[in-house]
Amino acid sequence: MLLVVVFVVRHDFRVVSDAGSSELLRFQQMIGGVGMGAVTVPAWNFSDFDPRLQTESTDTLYPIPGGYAYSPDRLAMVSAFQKP
Amino acid sequence: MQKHVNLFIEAVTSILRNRGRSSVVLLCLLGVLLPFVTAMAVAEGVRYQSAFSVNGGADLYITREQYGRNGPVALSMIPELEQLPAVTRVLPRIVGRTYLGENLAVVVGIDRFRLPAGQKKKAPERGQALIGKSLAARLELSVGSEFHFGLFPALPFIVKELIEPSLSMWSSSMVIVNFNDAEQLFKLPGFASEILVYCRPGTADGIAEQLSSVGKPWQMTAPLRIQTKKIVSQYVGRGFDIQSGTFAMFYVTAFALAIPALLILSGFGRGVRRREIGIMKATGWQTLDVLEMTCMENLFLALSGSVLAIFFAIIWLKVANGIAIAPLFISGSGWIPDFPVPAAFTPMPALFSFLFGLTLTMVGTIVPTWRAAVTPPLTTMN
Repeated sequence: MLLVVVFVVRHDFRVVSDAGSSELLRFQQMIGGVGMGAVTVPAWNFSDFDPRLQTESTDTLYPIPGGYAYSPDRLAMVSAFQKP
Repeated sequence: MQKHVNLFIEAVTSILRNRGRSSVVLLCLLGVLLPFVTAMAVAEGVRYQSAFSVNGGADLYITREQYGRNGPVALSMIPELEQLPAVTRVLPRIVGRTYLGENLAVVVGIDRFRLPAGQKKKAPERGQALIGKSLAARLELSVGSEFHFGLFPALPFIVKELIEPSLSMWSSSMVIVNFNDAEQLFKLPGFASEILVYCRPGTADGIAEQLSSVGKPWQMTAPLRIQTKKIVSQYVGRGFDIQSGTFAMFYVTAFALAIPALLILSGFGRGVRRREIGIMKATGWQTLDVLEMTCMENLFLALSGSVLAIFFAIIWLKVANGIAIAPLFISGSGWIPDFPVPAAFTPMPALFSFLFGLTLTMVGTIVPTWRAAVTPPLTTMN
């Protein structure tokens, strides 16, 4: 068990430390870098998905100033994005 | 040295002798440390993927400011940007969202002709699309399938390639199309959601400053909003801080579980423990020897507890792909995630989990042990 833990920690540390050229980096270079936050669907907002797209928190501004923040990620509030 | 080795052996023997007590302590430590280790591993994993997003991105992101929010920027700005000294490449990009069937998708439009030769091959041509594998699976699309967005049904797309989830966890809702198609899809020809500027190292801040002063204050043109790679990195940090709310929940759980652990350590089997200490003292043990042995016991328990916690976290995240725990850390992922949950077990969280376990066991045992050790042996044995 200890050996498994040591191996995984060592391996992951080496992987994390090495941010050199890889398939991951090439993909991000192609799309100009998209995605940062710990969120995978843009259902609530863009901000948490990629803060580059919306720099300011609009929680207190929109759609109800000072109102309850609907966004579970407490960034932007896009509570009424209608389906077509 | 021999004395310390003997004390260590005695500590291990004591743990094995009091199996019930040791097992309960280990289980409590596991309950305390497992959520902590898991949370840290997912946070490190997401941070790791984010680093690629930042490093692979542009040096400057330019948008137009609209009512304090980002607005589309006209493509007519591109020649002006290209003429700036130190700018090596300018790339317009559209990132928008719309429904694809019943699924909300992030549509990324990239200008294939402005990409470097190496990346051009992979980028979609007009009418083509790269689509996230899990999104494609939900829509039952495969390479060569045709699909339409509800926003512009007259514009057909052919799936050129499926984006592997291992490339980026964000690809699970992503559709990459040609820039011109994205312009048409969002019905904003001549505009990009942002213009990506690549420049020579060390010149980004200067260019950002230069661009900030473009236009006269009296001109009726919305100002530009410029983000440098440095600012973007700061946003990444902020984004992770926001997730700390979820983490806090786990810490509360951890402390709630730590309380019975402390009670057990200080109360469970205390009578037996006191008698043991009394016998040790009666047979010539010094108070320091008793304390040293207790510390070694705690060290061993903390080490075992943290190793167990990391081991189970590895199984949970790497083998079971974070089933039932991923949505607590990654919004939008299902209870059974359809993408590889990013997780990285780095030395610092491992060390912290060991120290956390050690602190808990030490807090629960040192004072009662010292009290029992300084009491006359006859009293403690009774």
